[in-house]
Amino acid sequence: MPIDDILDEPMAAEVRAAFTALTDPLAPAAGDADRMVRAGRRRLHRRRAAATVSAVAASAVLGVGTTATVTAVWRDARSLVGAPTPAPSPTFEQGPYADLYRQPTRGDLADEAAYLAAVVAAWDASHGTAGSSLTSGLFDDLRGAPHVVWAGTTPAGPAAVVAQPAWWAQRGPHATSDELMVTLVGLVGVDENGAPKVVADDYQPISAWFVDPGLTTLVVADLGSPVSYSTGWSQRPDGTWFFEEKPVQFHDGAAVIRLPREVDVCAVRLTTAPGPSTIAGAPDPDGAHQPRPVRSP
Amino acid sequence: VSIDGEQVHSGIGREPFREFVVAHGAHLLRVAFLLTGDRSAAEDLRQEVLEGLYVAWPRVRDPFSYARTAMTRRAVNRWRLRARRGETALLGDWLRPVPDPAQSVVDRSSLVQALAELPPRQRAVLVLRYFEDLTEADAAAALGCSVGTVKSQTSRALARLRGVMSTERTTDHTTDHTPRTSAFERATSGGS
Repeated sequence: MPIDDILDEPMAAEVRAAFTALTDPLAPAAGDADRMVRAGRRRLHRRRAAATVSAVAASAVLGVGTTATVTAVWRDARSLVGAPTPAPSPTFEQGPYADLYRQPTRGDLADEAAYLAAVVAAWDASHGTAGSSLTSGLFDDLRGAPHVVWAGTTPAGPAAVVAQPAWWAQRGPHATSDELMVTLVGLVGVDENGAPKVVADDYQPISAWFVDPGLTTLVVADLGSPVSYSTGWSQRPDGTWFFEEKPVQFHDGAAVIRLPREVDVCAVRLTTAPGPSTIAGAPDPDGAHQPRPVRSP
Repeated sequence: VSIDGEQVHSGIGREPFREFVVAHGAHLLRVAFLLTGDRSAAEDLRQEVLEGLYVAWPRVRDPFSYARTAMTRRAVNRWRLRARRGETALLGDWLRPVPDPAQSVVDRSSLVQALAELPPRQRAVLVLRYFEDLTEADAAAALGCSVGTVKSQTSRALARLRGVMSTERTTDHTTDHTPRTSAFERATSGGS
């Protein structure tokens, strides 16, 4: 048994027991099934009405707008009833990452052809090896070529944000009716030897990643919305607590944040709420959200 | 009625859906509670997913996996939605006393607090692995991430919990000479 598993097992047993104790008292209210059937029926009626209205609106729009609107309606309706999958377009032009494809590579390493080639090679290799998203069957249909959105220098080494369209089609025992074109976005950071390595990838609109194994440096991609970050609760010398959100300063497509050593990386939070703001004291009067001291990693 | 070329019958032939909720509704509520840490949020999350399941019912091959997968992904994404609404805290009922028939309570033990403070994805991984007993591959499929991500998130989460518990026990050892029990045992000991 791997050493990590040996270390983890006692803690896992405690977690199992805690989960059971926390949930044992929980039970739905009487009449729950009938209430869920009524709620489902209402949802179905709302969707029918929305689909009808959207289709009428789409028919009144001309040109590219028509295509985009109809596509959006089609995707929404299909995701509801799981209709047969049509042939996907190889060009992904919707979703939170759409703008990423329309811009040239940014960052101070954007012109470093050798580095960009190494980034793409690392990206391609990652998605063909065991343990990547590819092997789980979720992204076995990557489309087009990977696009390096940003490439820059960070205190932890060079890093790059990469995007590539992928056809989402779940398979296996946990398959749902979700089938649509998505964008796989990830960060190519550095491994222990400083070589390019895909450190994270996901289809969800997450835009911040740690560059290095030591979790010292964050890269935040500029997706067009203001982003704030916080490093958790801190304590002033006089003993009072505060929670500060600082605006992320983007430059040329991304922001690089070097975290101080004393920051607890587990407490780092990114939000799309505008900063800066500072909250003093415990924010919840019933004490549910107690502040805690900043700890070293 | 036709939606996207698919015949859908509202309220007709949905008795299997009702039977599914009767059979699995309580368990799905528990999963939702562990994912969100909040009873009200869990009720909302479960209903939202079950509504979608009702609509998709004719095409869903494995309703339970569908519901669990949908709940997990929505819960993991939830922190961003809360952030947009200006909410900053992810703790909730986990840290409040939860009465049960024996009047025992889950107090604010270090373990429970540490669980509640885990990032949503790490918490979801633990729920899938240790409450749902999914394999790493199945947990990855449910989360829509790689097996490597599940491994690393599990390891980080357990390491963090282990660190908290270690600190707790060290503190106990230096300040209290009564027989030592784990924080979890104290938390679930019925207040005794």
